[in-house]
Amino acid sequence: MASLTAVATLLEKGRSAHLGQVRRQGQGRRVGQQTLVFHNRPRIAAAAAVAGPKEAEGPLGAYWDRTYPDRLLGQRSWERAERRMSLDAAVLALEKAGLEPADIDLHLAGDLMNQLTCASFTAAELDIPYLGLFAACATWAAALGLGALLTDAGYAARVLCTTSSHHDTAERQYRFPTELGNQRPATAQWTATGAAAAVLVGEARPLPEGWTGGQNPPEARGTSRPDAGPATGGTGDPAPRHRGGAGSQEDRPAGGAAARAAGEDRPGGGLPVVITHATFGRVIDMGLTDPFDMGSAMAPAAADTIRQHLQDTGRRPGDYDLIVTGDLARYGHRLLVELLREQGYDAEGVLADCGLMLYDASQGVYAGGSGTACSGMVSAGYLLRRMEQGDLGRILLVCTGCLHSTTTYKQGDSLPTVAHAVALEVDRVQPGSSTPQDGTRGGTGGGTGGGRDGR
Amino acid sequence: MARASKEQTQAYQKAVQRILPPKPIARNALMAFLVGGSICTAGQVVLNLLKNAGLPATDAASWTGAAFILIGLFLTGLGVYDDLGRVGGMGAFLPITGFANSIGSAAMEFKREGWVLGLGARMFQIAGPVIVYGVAAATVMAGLLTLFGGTRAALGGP
Repeated sequence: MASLTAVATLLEKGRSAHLGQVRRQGQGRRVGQQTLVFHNRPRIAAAAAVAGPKEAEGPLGAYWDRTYPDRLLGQRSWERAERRMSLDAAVLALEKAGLEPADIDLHLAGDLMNQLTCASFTAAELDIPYLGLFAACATWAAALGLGALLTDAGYAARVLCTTSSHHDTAERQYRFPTELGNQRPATAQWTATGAAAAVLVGEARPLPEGWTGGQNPPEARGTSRPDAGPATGGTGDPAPRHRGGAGSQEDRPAGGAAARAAGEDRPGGGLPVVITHATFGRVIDMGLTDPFDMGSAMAPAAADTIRQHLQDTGRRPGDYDLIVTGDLARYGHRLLVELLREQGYDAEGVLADCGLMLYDASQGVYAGGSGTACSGMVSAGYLLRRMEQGDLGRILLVCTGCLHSTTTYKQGDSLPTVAHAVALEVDRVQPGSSTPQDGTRGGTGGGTGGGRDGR
Repeated sequence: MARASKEQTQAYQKAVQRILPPKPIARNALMAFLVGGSICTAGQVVLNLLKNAGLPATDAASWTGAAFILIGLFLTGLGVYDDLGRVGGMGAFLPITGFANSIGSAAMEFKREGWVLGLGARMFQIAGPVIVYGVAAATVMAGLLTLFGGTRAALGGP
């Protein structure tokens, strides 16, 4: 499509000036311009997704951990209902991981509400150190990426990521009262009602040494981290560290407090999915102003982040079993296919969109689903399960967000958009073959990922 | 940096337009006609019934309006009117039932923020512009009619 060439050029040229400089800074933890590489293979130990009634009736209805018969959940307001879902998802994910809130070092959460109230009120219940994130509907990937970054670098051993959205809270904040009889264009999207949570764990967690049951975990981590960190950062190749823990395995008793603290170890259960890369996107503003057509506004951001990720990693779209965008919906998805084609990537076969997967076209959701929970629910509930089952080996999750507020678009500003991507991969090491030990950097399957990282 | 220039926005808009479906104007117009027409027909039936019951014409009209405001509020409370509006568009919004819906839906939504600053302050969030510009238009019309006083007689007014 000729008119897209101009857009493709805009996206292409934006960052090329500093290419050389950034490459030098990389040190293996960073490739290309924007992509972070996680050599320690932070793992998604558990994930949970809860869904409202409409989502429960949708095509993915069988995959939710909990569904609710009505959108109010017996609460006083939509906002309270959303908080409740968010808390439920967090608790379910923690239960699956066999962890207590106290075992979590950091809670990263975000939603669509002004001042992130849903995330913050949920965090108040959980009582975990908390960082609220706002990237609109891209919050889920931002949280996963940041969580992976923190666990990979050893600043946190376990991170809880949650996100939620609610059709009615979003309607009321961004659009109209929920019972107003108004007509929307076909490009409008349906904000998903639901919540998602994931527990990320660092494989090379040095906790058990001197671990006294939560008395002073930060200190214990601080002492054992520095010697391991810089060494790996310099090499840029995780292979040498691969499974160095076999020897040290004998001197650790497998039971008692150590096993409890090591509840996230692969053989004990949990998902076999690791986060290998994160590509945080830049803000793209194509000048569109229609808040009822966010798919079109966000497609260039998704195209930019995907292109950047592929360029940074040297991968092709075909290297992924699925490149799944957050909530571009029907028309944004089509635009993304075209935009990627303009940039030289034929990704049509592997591209999918959470907003299109969440609902059936007959459910009256216009162009498709949207909302922070949309990508969260589909990935935590459905995609991770498909990965666990072995149907999908490697996916790129690209969550897209439209960063406007009611104030900005009413004042005539355009819609700035962003897309963040995380690469998820099935850890191919057989469960039970190894238990990562304290101080050991070789995460399970370090070798399989290492080869790919270098490409 | 990654902000599009005017030309780039236009180029992209052109591409977007090619992807987006055409607006279903004919279908929307038909549905608006059917929904709005049905509401108005029902209104006419009620009006005629009241008139036949012996009410003066102006009273009958007032009672009909009141009845349909109630019906609009009732359907809003049942959660039916938003579906009607989704299908009927302007056909559902324009009659007095739509006006009632715009006030009722806002009242339901913001009651949770309290009776005064919630319901009281935000009840007319949607209906407010209709009232403001309705009154403004009426004022302008009244001014014009007064200015050209003869028109009133010509139109057969009292």
